[in-house]
Amino acid sequence: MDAKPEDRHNRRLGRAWRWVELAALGLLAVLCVLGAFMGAQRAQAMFSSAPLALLWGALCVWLVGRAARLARSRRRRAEALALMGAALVVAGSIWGSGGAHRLRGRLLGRDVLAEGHVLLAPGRPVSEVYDTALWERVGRLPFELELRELRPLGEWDAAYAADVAVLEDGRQAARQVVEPNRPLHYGGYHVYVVKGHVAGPDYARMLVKSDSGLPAVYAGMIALLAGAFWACWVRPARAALRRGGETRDH
Amino acid sequence: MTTEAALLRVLVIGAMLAHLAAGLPMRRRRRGARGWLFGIGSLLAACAVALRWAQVGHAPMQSLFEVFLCLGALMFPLSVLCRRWLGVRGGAGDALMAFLVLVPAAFVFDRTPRPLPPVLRTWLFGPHILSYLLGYVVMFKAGLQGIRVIRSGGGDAMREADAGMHGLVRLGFPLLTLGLVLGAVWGKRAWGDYWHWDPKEVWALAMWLTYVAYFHWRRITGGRRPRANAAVALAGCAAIIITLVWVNLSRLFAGLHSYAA
Repeated sequence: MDAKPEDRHNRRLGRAWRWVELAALGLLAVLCVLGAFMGAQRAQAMFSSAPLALLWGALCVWLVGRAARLARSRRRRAEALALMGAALVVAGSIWGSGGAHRLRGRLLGRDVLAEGHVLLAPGRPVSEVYDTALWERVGRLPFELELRELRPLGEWDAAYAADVAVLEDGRQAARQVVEPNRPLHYGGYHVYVVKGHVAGPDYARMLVKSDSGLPAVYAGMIALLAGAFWACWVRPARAALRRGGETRDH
Repeated sequence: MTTEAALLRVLVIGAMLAHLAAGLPMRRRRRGARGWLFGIGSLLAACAVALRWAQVGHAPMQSLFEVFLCLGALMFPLSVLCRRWLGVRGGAGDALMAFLVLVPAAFVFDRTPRPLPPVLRTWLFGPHILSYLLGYVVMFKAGLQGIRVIRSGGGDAMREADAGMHGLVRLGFPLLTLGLVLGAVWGKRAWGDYWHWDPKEVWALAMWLTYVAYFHWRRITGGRRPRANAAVALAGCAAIIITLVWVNLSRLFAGLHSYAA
């Protein structure tokens, strides 16, 4: 029986759309290669620019739409899960970006801290956060940080562990030795040691990062992984087992 | 040169030669000898990995020497698994691939043991690198099948090679995804962000996107264009080589991942 004209039209549209998707994938890969040659700072500036921010937003919407469409088919749910995961990663990244923080700050009429540096010294709790040059104030933490002790890490120059206390209303709310791979996590922020001291052995320069968007990014990564393993490993293995069972039955 | 270093050198060169003997076509070789030689080469490489581990006190995956040594040791077990699970043959090609990765380990890369810097001292170090190494080996094997597709005249041989290539890409893709995700999680813990647009990260993303494009291309064409499928798979292999070697060795791409140079 001949297909209806609307079905033929929809199929043509679907095929055209898939070519557009392939072209977009190619464009993204090419931008990545370009970014690699530009170096990390310039690549970050390029990928955070307004035109590419629009691209990320469009990508997020497309991923969600495609995932919703695929989820209707039982056989494509793994792909839908992976796409949804990718959408969450992109959405979480957009939400956690410096630009999004600045926009939220403008809309709310106050500082919304994305990231910055603090300079800690023993006996001097601080909550003011500065830019990389430690010159311009970029915001304020909702709690104070105080350095209790600084310990160099053995044979490594400029690597150290900082014993840091978190103070709320003058009282210690948390305390941790912060070192590489062990950041302090408190109040919606992560606090990291930064390689190298600023001035003398009793000052610790710490990097502060907001957790905005992070739960979505991590949930997205889990969904992306689950979808990839399900589509590429579990589903083919189940199909092979079923085929093997059918062969034995015959 | 210390005894340990000399023994390590001997093991690496021995592994390299055993893999070469397994991979080259030889009329006088006994039946089954290829498999034995391949296995012996892998065993020698595994002994070298174990010796290196004892020497440095951590999983030997920090420098390019250690990474290529591990790649050489992984070829045989993965070749056997791929033959058993996916029905993909090609042991000779796999042995030659192992020989090729062991040559720079034996003669080019710096073998000086280095202590692990604090930022690499995390439980994520092993799984992140290992998932990538496993993914790379599987994808290189897929690339070899892609070459078979392109060189075959068509018909059943091409279909078989294409099916094998697709099975291998499906096997390796989640491993590359796992490597990417673990790297992002580690980056967040170590440097404050899960993505820095570091050249290595960006090339790894380009490589991953190439394989996403492979699946998408196959979806569009219904898998009916084997040579084009092979071309995309080989483009992925090229991206792997760039990510693994060029990014680490070239001054063009200085960044957070400079440990491996």
